[in-house]
Amino acid sequence: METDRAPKLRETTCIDELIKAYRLQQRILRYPHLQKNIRRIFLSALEERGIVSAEAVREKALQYLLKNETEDADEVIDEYERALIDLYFATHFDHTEIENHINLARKQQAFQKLHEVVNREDATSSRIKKVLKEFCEIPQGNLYISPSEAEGVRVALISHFISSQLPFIGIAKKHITIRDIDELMDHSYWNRRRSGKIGGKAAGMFLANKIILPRLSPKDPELERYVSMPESYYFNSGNLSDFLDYNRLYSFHSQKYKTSETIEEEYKNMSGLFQRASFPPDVEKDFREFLEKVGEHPLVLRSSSFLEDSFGYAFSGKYDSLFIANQGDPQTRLNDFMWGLKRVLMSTFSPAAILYRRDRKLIDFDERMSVLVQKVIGRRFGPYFFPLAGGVAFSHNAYAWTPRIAREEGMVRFVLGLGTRAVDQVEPDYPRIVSLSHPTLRPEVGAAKIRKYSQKLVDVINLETGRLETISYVDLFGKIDYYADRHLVLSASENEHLSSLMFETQSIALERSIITFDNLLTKTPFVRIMRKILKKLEDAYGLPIDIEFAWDDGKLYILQCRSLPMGEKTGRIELPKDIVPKDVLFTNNRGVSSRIVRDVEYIVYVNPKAYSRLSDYEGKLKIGRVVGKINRLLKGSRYALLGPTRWGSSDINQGVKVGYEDINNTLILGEIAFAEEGSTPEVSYGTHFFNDLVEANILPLAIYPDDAESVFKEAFLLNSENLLSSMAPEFIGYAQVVRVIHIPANTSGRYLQVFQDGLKQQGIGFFGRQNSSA
Amino acid sequence: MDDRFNPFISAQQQLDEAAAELGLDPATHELLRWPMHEVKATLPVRMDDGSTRIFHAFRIQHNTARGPAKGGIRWHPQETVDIVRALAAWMTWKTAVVDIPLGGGKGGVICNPKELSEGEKERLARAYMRAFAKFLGVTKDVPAPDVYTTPQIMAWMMDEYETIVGENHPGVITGKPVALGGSHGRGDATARGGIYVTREAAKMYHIELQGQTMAVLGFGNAGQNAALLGEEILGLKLIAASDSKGGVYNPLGIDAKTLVDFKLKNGQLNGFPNAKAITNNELLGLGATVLFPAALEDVITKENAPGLQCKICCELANGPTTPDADKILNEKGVIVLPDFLANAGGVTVSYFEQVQNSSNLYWEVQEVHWRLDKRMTHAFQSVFAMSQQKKTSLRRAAYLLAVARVAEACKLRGWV
Repeated sequence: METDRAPKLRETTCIDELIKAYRLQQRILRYPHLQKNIRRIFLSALEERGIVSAEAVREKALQYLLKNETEDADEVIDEYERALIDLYFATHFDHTEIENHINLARKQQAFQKLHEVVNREDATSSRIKKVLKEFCEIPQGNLYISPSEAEGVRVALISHFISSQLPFIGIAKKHITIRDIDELMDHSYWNRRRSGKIGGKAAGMFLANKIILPRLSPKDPELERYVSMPESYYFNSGNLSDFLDYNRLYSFHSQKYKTSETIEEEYKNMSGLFQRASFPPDVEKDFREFLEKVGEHPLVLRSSSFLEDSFGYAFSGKYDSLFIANQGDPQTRLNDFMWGLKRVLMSTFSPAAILYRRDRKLIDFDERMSVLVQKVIGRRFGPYFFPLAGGVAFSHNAYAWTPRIAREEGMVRFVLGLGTRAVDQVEPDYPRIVSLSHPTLRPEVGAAKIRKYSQKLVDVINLETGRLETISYVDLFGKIDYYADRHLVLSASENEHLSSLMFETQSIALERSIITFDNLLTKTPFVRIMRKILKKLEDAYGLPIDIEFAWDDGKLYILQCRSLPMGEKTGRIELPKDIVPKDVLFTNNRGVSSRIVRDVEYIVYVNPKAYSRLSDYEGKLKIGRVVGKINRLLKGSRYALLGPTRWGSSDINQGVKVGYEDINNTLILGEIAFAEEGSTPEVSYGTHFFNDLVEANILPLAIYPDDAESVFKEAFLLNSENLLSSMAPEFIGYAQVVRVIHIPANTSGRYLQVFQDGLKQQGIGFFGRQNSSA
Repeated sequence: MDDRFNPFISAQQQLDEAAAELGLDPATHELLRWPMHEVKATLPVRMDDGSTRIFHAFRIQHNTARGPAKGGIRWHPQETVDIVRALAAWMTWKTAVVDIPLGGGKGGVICNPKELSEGEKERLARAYMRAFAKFLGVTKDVPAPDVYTTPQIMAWMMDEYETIVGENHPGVITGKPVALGGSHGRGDATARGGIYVTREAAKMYHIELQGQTMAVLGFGNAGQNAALLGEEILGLKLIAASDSKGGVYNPLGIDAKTLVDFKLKNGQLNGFPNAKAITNNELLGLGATVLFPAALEDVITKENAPGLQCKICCELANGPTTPDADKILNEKGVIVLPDFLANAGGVTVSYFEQVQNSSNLYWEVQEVHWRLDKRMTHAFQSVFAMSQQKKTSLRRAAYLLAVARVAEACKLRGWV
């Protein structure tokens, strides 16, 4: 291709070319102020394709000048040059290309304006939004602003509207484009008086979806087919700050500095106060319009505070998220919606949340609450609305109960129906836990055991009563005429024979069926998709992540995503050799996470057998309170809490009822699993409670005293002096169940040393001299 | 074997006592102390990741004087040859006490099935059958499901066996899914057998059951069926039941079907309406006419046995009563229907499955019930007669009866 000399235009097609050039000119004329830029872009495109160079165009113009002497030479040359550029461009580029190049000039101009506005210190959100909209109204085309320029604007927009956390921005700027932010703005409800951001949970959800389905880079066809972003709306923190202002509730911002007791006391009265408080009329109008837009579809209101889900702090379940059926007349729906928002906001001031922040030295942070409102994923069957499956998935599988399981391939914990039952501990019900490296392995064998450790109850939204309800799956399927996905969920069990359903319409005796999800795991791309997205997200974050998801109608929806709190250190830990057997207090060999905890001074032992012997509910409940009290008294001391399995269980018969605030000062939370019916009790992994432990750097460990290879010297714990009566005399009646032991006083001045080797799955706790490097 | 408890030595000691009481001749005694035939195999199995893992497997035929060996295949990580030997001997006595024409056997594979995928389990099941096929068959030895083996595993094994011999042979293994030749009535066979035995015991000991009460300790498959059938067949009123998470009690009675449905839906008994929560120990002391321990071993101990108020204790579970507690119950006059009689309904229906497979004629469930009733009634009457004759407990009598029957078969064959 000639580039030094302009190619000759073919005269036979002269008319065609003229028409093309004319049309092109007409298009350019629509943007008179951009003509120069447009032709500059045309020329560089012509050069890039090797069609003609700037010099060649110039030379041709000069030749023309020589042939047709005119007075105003410069102007003629320019004119001729412009005409030539148009002619070349019109004849070598098709309609779409021409449009894209013109749009690039438009975008560059709008981008300059955007760049200028977002970087101004006094720029208001509405001004930025306006300029952003102007930019985004120009069709995207396939010609883009240079990446380095775009990055600057992306960062400014992300930190203005989404999150100002640097680790988040560092990742988000690679995946969230300017147009993505505009899309987010279209789904946002910004307050007119207060600025704000969309908050941590919304940010994580949005980013994850953009990592999985990027706007600009090529999409994985399989993910494109099977992953959808949930329909989401962002009510930024300004709305709720404005609500506090409007109702003159400023003093709540200082709630966090009060004593724990006052916070707890005042929190009880907060509900009444909030019920009486109202949103400003303009905000209420926004809400009304929003509800009109989404229609009568169930909604979930997810707390999305600044701190929540930011890197390193999971705030697992500290703030409320709640479902509303969103049915009925507009006023009812509006009232339900506003009460939901208030409840989410109220949870910012809950004792658990404030204490959690105190422990992490986040108390001075100006925490603000945004709300992520999503249309609940699911379909309606009879009066019930629910998805096929909901739950949580982890890119790093800490629930590796056999060495065969590859931790790096992740784990999924899910249930039929709303994922609430998979996120919270809801014994005696059991969600399905799947190790993605070996999806069909499970720690139970045989239909009876599988039935025992399977889900029985389902969380659904009853659209007729407008309530979140828990219903047995037998009743649920019994009341639904036909549920095509039933074969993905249930297995039939007959005389101990368990088999997944062969086809959709196979009849099944519901009361003899078991929720196994076997067909979902083996006959759909669920596992493959899950593995893929967890890997992709972990790669993008550079850290293990977890997600909350729903799977319905053959599609996966990522509802939340955050980096996983990492309690486990990856470095190799070797158990000390030459420990005299008499010094060993316990050994453990399942679910071991690598860690060393040195110089534990106290052990609080809740005797599992004595606990289970407590016959009354009140007595068992009291044990939780005793533990909470001791936990507060031992603040600052190095102590380990050992007791029955399933700490934090919602079922008092299953484990001691404690909240995070009752155990937050312990270094170790041990579950002593005495064999029960030949099976090993379930660990708490994957629940919010377990996340709290990992993140708070509390070492969870499970001791199985009935294992032939395990050591557990319960006698030491039962026979050493019990300090309970001197520490908390009011609980003296529980000294048989709760024992507080000062280790050095009973071991000639030695302390408990705990070594855990996750690689070999071996752990030991022994008495040794105090170590200065503790 | 280290110095830990060795079940086989314990089984031999138990036999020694019975032999002494029966006055068994030394040769017969010695013959019965040992398995007649033991096979060990090493099974290479291809794993999902392409590697090969080696599994060690056994099949032990303790005694086949009364018929082909019968007994389950266990897949357990802590499996040992001595456990399998002890359990094989136990099967010899169990088939003898219910008087079905079978001997005793047991098999095992040292493996952890929890760590095996479905594909790996299938390959292991087929490898087992390839290794042992020549020792198995309806005329030689008929395995069944046991610890950690399932009807599906039986189906794979049957298929492998039929592939090897080249003909249809469903009776080579029992406990198959019904669609593949399994017997109707197997689901509640254990409980039903226990109910028939309870009925017979009540008759012989002149205890009125109609309108009286029952308590069920352990509300799994056997416990649930015991409650349902206790109501239906014996006219008992369920007043309490418990599972691993706690129990429920209502002295006025609990509808068994409603409780079973509640358990199926909720996974536990806790929270059942109109009933008081109770512990296992409280349940034991309630004074129900019939107590069905139906899940755990060693739940009736010397500590709680003195408090037991029941008239009949029907052991549906294996070994629910410790030897010390057994003594106490005997002294108190509680009629203990010993496990290997009370829960022999399972093996009896297994035998029925084999018979149906061999004749290729399948029975209606009513026929299974009728035949089971006959067998269990006959078994109880024989044990009762022996206990009267020897003036001993039903447990002891059942054992003596079983050993005597096997000894007789050995003698008739001219082995001793």
